[in-house]
Amino acid sequence: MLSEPEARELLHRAVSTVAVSGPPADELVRRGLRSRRRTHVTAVLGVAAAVGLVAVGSVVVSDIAGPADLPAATSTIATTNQAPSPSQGATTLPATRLVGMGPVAVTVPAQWGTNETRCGTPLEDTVVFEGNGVRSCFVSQRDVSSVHFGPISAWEPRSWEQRSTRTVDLGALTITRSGIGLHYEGPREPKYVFSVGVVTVPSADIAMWVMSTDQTVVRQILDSVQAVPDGYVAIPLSGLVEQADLEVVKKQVRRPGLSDGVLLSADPPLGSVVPRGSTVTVRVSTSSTQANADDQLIDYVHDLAAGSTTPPNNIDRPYLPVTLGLGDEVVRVENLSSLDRGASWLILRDHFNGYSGPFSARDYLATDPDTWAVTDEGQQFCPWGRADDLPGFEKDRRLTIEPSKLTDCTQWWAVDVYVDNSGRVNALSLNLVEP
Amino acid sequence: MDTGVEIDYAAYVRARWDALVRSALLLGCSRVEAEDVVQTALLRCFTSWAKVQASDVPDAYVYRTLVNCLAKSRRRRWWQETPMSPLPDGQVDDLAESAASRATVLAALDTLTEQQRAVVVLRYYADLSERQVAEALGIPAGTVKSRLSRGLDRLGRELSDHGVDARQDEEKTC
Repeated sequence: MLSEPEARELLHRAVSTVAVSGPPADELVRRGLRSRRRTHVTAVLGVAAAVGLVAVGSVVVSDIAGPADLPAATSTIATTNQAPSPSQGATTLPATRLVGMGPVAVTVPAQWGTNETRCGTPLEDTVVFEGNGVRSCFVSQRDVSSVHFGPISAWEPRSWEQRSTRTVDLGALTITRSGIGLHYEGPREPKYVFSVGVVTVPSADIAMWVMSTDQTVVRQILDSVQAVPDGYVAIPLSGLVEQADLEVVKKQVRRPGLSDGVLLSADPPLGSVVPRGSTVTVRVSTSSTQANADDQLIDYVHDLAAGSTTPPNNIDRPYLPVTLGLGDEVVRVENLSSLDRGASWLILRDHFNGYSGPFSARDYLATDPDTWAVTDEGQQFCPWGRADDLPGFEKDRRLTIEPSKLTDCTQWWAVDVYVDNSGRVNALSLNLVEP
Repeated sequence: MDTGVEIDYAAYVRARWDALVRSALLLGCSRVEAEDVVQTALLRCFTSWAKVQASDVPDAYVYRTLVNCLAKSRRRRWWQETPMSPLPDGQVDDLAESAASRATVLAALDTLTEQQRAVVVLRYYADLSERQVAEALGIPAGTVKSRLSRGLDRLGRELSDHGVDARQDEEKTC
């Protein structure tokens, strides 16, 4: 018989050399917090699924009920009652929303994002529209839930579908719905096991699949599938958005590394079910032509600050005015031709955002442009928000020049360049930060 | 849960992760399964971390959760293990000798009943006292003693059948 010390020694020695991966403490805290939220979300989805069934019913009888029963024309459809009646007690249920593609929609928690992915891999709980300018790279899977929309060819059929898929009629819309299968990924060991279910709309060439490590989430989202109500439309992908019955406002955004015309986001988000005729603002990566024009413009601004007297003649009119600003405040107007003198840039002010004056955007614009990041929306490097537009220049395009790298947010600066449709610089505004 | 509790929880995970995974190995898991089941157990503890902290011996609470999760995962295994390509069990940095020794010890542990094995591992690897083992497994202290006695007896016989002796092994490594 082994003695106690011998047993202790044997057991310890037997496993002492086993390689154990590092303790995933932060990951467990994150998942723990998420799991607590998910418990809540699951409860919400239970309600959402029930409401979804009601919504399907309302589609079936919509000829009788009419569009008056649908939400107000300016809002997307939120499907969960946010103001429970007294009989429901004090619990307030978080909102859920309808998201869809073409004629089909499902209910997801309202806090889910849209296309929260990197290299095609969901980073947060999200709705994903497939084939939207994903770059070729790899990011390992995370324990998040996602609903994917795309053409049927984007869905890779699984063997278990054959025996579990059935046809379902949603009023006039015929869909197929699979059971729920399991999905692993990874070259070695599966870190996560996802439950997966898929719905297809053969008549519209649409597939929608749901993935989650929580099977209940998959089941309840699948249960919420419904036809998009009459008079409503699911905001579609770029290229199709103009064809839908929507008013589209397009904003171009510089995103180095992205191909031209990639739809970056929409407001309301892609897939939101909105009344026909609603206004949708979409952000699209700039075309290469636009990017080249921007590069010229940035070079011009740099040359201007460096005292160059030969700016490109296609955008220079020496007599035209340029407004100088600090943050969102107009300070004064100078002639373009006068900006070749450093003194013309100076803004005398005792104090601005924690810095003592005088201030000059020229100090920053004369630095090496290779160290700049130029974007339409600011990089949001640091926690503070972006300043409001300079008054009077809201209709201009606002290019923001910032340092591309920062080690300390107190070193941050930005110069907003306001440019009109003809490429003319109307205003330059310096932004500094409260230390 | 406030930040202080999360910090305390994360510190516990960092301190006990290796020991918990190795305990799960001794309880009969593969390495992959061991890490999974420990993660599951720790996640479960996260939601009741206040109870863990309030208990006399947090380790006993966590080990109890681990043993329960392991039992549950074994009950569910029929559907969880969907066929895949074989999963490599990362032992590349093991010395051949220690791997062989481990295989022998694990094989000997395999001959114990599940209950004996849990008692032996919690007592002699997790270093819980007999009272804490009893608490962790929800059994009387007397049952712990009897299972330990039978377990050690069986383990000793199995190891001597394989020519393994704890003291000889110790001498070799010295």
